[in-house]
Amino acid sequence: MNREQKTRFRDRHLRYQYDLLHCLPSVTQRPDSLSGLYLKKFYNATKRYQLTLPTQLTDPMGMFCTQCGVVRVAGVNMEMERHVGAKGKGSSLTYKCLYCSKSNDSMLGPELAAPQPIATATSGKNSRSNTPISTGKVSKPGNNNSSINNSAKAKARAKKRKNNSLSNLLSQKNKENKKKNSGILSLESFMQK
Amino acid sequence: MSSLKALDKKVATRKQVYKPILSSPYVNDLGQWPHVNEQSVVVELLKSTILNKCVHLTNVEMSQWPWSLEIDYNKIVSLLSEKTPATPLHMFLFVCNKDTKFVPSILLQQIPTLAYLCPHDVTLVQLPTGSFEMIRNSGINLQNGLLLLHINDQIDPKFVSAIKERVQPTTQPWLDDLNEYRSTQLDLLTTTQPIR
Repeated sequence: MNREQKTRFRDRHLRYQYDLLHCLPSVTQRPDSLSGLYLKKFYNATKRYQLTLPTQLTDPMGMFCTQCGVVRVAGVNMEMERHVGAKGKGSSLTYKCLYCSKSNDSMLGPELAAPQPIATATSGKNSRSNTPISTGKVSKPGNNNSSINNSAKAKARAKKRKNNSLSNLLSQKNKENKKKNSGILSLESFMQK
Repeated sequence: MSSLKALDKKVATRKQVYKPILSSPYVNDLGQWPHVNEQSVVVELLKSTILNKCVHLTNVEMSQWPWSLEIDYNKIVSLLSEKTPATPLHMFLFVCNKDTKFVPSILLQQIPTLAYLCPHDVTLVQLPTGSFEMIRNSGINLQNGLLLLHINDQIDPKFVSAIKERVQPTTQPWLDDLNEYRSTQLDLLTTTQPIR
């Protein structure tokens, strides 16, 4: 096999094993050692080809159950629940495999505080101005406002570019040097000499 | 014989690309989230029909609101994973899956599967970055980036159809025959075998 054939074979081999893993939940409806075997084979194959898998596959909270190796399908072979801890403490997410009843936990950040109601009495116009992110995101490129913004940004960028040119930097440095030299002799400059 | 320079040039003409090895149409990991056309329009629709009115309702209990919203993670998950509902519900599920700063992706990674398998009529709508704060700013105490909106008589049918036509349906072939188990048909065939 030449190199191209090799990579093609590798791709097909891995994809076949990956698809097999996904076939399993529809084939078996009960705990099965087949899922663990297939997952192990898949991992071994990726190891042999020296590929690093994305973390969503290898993570304990990822696609596969850490004990029986079945593909997690929420609602079918897995239950998930979010537990909210005491105030100020983090909440957690629990996955429970319905095949092997293994649970995995993941800590999440603390609950966010309830949002402060913005401008309940005033009109919607005011509240819209209070949400800078959304307005910035939503405004279309054809919008008057954003085009002005864009041109201003472009000008600023051009100015920066000009300032950063080599000759400019050199002249600035020269100026600074002159300033230093022209000043009255200070103790510091004397010491430096 | 080729000089080092020539070799260098030869290498430089090839571009480095990353090829997704595991992406197959059967598994379809990449297209889990349904694609939304004209996201800005969808956000604007959501804001003008729902969120702008929620701002005025912050002093009212959520259960008293004219439309029924759901933000609790466990409730949404249990609603989506109902196997045989008495009455199929009709709902929109808005998801801030791009705001990973506030919403850990681990919370949302199973949501597309759930929504796909759900017996209810769920339209999964992913929202662009910044939507999480936008929704929170309208007085909804969003924690998990999930906003479920039941579609009932209170909701403008124009709003519903406008959003629906912008969300492309997804296909996940490996999940299609998950719920009904078909046993393989086995039969015995009469043959003969030599006696040793």
